[in-house]
Amino acid sequence: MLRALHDAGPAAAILAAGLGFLAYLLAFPAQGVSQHVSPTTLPTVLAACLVVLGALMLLRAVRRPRDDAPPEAPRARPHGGNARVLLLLASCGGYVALLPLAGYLLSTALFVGATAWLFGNRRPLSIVLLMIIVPAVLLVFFEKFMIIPLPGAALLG
Amino acid sequence: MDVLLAAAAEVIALQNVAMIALGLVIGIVIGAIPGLNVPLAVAIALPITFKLAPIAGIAMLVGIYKGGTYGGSISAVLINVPGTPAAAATAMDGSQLTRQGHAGKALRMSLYASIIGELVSDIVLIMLAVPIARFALKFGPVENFALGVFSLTLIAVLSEGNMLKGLSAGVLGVFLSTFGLDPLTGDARLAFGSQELSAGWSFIALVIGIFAVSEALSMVERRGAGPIERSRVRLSDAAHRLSREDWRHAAPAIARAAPIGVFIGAVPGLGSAISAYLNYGIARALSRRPERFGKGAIEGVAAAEAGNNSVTASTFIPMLTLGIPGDVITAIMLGAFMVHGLVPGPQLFRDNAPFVAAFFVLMLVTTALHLVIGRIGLGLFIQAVRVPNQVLYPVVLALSFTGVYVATNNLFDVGVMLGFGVLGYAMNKFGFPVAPLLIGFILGPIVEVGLRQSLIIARGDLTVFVRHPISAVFLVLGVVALVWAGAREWRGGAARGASAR
Amino acid sequence: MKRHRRTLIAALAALPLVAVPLAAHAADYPSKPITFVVPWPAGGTTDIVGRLLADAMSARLGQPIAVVNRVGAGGSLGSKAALDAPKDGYTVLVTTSGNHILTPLAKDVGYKADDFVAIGQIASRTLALGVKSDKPWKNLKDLQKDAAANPGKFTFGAVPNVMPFLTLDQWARMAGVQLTHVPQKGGAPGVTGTLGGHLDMVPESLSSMQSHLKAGTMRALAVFNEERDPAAPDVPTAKEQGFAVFGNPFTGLAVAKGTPQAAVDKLRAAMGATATDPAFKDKAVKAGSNVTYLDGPAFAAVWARDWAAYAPVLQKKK
Repeated sequence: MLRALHDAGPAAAILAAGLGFLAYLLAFPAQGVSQHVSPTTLPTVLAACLVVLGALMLLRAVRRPRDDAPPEAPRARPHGGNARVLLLLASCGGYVALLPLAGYLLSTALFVGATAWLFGNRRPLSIVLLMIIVPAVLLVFFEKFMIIPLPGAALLG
Repeated sequence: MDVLLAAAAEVIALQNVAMIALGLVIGIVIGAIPGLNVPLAVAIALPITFKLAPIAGIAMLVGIYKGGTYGGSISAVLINVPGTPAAAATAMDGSQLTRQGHAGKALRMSLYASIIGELVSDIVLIMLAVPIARFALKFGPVENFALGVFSLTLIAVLSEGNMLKGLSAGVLGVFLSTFGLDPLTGDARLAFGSQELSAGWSFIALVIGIFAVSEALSMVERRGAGPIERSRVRLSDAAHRLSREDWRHAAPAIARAAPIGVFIGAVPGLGSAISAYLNYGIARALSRRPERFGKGAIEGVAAAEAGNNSVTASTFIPMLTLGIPGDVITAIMLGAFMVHGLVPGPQLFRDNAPFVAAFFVLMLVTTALHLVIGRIGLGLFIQAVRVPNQVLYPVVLALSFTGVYVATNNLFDVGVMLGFGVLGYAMNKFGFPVAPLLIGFILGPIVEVGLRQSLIIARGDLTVFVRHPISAVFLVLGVVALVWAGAREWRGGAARGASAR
Repeated sequence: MKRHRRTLIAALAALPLVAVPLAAHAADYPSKPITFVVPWPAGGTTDIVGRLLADAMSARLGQPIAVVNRVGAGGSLGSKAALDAPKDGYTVLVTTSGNHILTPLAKDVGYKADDFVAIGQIASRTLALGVKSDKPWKNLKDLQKDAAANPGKFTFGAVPNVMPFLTLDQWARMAGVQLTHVPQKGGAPGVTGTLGGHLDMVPESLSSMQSHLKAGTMRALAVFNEERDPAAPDVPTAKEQGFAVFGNPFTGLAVAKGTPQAAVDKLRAAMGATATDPAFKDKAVKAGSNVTYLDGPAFAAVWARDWAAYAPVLQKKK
């Protein structure tokens, strides 16, 4: 049952995405002069392909739930894996949100600290050193050496 | 020959050699840093080169170009973060080898395959520049379309045993490449009213997301596993050296990839990323052990890197002989030539023969120095495998985010990278290969632009694609590839079905 | 200001690495690094001119100048970014006809030409109409006669709605002929396609086809200037041939309106001194851009002229 879901899930997602884009593209107003192939022709064809492929995969997953594939070795799933993935994504998102507000050094330091912790780093000295060295080295390299400005801080400016 | 010898004496002047070496080091470092790429490095260095003598300035730019084209493979192999979009093809098998404790093999192979590719490219540039340029100029929209279609059929070959998922990934890749404003007319299509998305998805953000971010996500899920090596890594250990067996698999791949790459470099508008992916696909299609690909096939690294770097001299073919810059790098170099009063084109060979000879010698010297500097670098770079994940990944992630930001100066693209990280993570989890997606993404625009331009010129007459001989050959090759992949898939499916029963 | 606060944080993070003087009044402008925003890709003509200017002006202003490529949406992303940055003179837009005039006319991108203050024009490109040398046409009249007899037969390659395209389009309408437009993704591919025989003609900057003209592989039928270009004195202007069609894409510097006058004056002075320096001119010419310097007010007049000239064409298309 789980296996069927493993195959049917992405198939359904592709089918849904394909249908969504297809609907969006078909409703698109025709534009520009006719040039044999319009700007939306290829995307429309591709969205249709996605629908067909998604439907085929879904059909296959439902009809033959994986009996033709060698059973997968059960993967070692350490405790809390999914939670850590979500936490990592959240800290990435938080980092992007924080960058324009708190500036490069502060937000990168926080981000590096958070990810080090998520990856199982529990030595305070190591984490603190990372939080100082990584943003500082990157800042000096990009801003001072390459002369490419990094995001400044709006909140504090 | 006399001219070449005289030129050799000039190029080997200490200052020029020093500039080549400096350029190579800068190039390799910048290439290895995700987000910073060769065009940017060359553009930044250009004002500096104006202060140097003509040959010295051009020497530095060539060093940056060759070093930067190669440098992306180092981070691709060691930390699965392609430093340049082209190096994603190297990452597919290179990072697997690193995970299996063979980082040295992958690093060595990427260096040696790059050098061989460069050398072939240099030699072709010197010996065959004029005829190749004439042939390359025959590539118009029709031919580009057919080449793109042929390359796309490799997706089917790459997806063997996993056809529906592979094709879905490929179609998704082409589909993703159509986002943003229409590249030809500027009309809105899949831009959803967003200014930021109007140029489509950033290739750099996509590649770094699919590799670095998705890798970090699956790593944090598993956690466990400390560093791959704890003690000092010695490149001379057997695990890090290339065996005879490795060379037996890699040699044919390099032998095919180098000439193909040289040719792709000579066609204006294609470039190193297309060469790397196309050659990776061809190597897998023709491999006797295609099942190893994606799981640490040394020939995958070899083909991708030989393909990648074998464009680095042939891109100068149309520029030197016809004055046509085929990509951003040669456009800048064209500028550098003009700065020194040299006008590329047929008259360059007539009026400035000593300079052309010096340039040829310069290419060869750069390739030789690349081998030396690259080899010294390997011993340093490989130590990165000793860094434990809990230190490595915070650094990799910070570098990826910063690199993407610096590449586009746009936080939107950092978000795009994150989104593609999630997509890559999901694809890995559900068994969708990422190679077809990347191939589709990079070839999509070539196929679409070629198709539409051809039809405008031919006024909607589809037979134009079979009336042009080069195009017809590629299309036939494409059909052959499809039939062959279909047959193998059908037989494979039948065999699996039989064994299951 | 915000950079300084960030520097404070840096110091707090035990990093006295990036100490910069704290006070930034308009009077002591520039007291920190300046950023040039280039709305076009690294390595292009605009980018190279921008980097050359940054290099030379940074020596005169005594501060480093960072060059940042902010590409996309017809140059409007970069222009908008320069407009939205703090109006303190530390963000300068390297601007071209494309992002400054044509894009805001054709689309609603949230800014107009006169939302900026002109610092100066650095280059004005000469557009030429190039054909492969095996074509029978020697001048625009030949082409007009042939194209009138064969409507839609001849193709030209150009990026839609940029100045080369608009210029040739205008000529075709004036000459009463119909040419087939094959859209391109950039200027250089059009020249390559013409040279390869895939396209019949290409309107592009003279500098991008100069080497082919010298080699005799291409021929220029006309330049769309008031006067002949000294770089190609034997190519007649369109005006001489009876077609008063002009197209001169510009490149220059601009800052957002509202920038302190002191900063504007310093930038104008530095740019003027740089642009008239023979050493700089030499480099720029050789890098493919003729220096045709105009000071701030004259550059602003060019904006007004082009805005008025292209508004009817582009707004009609909208």
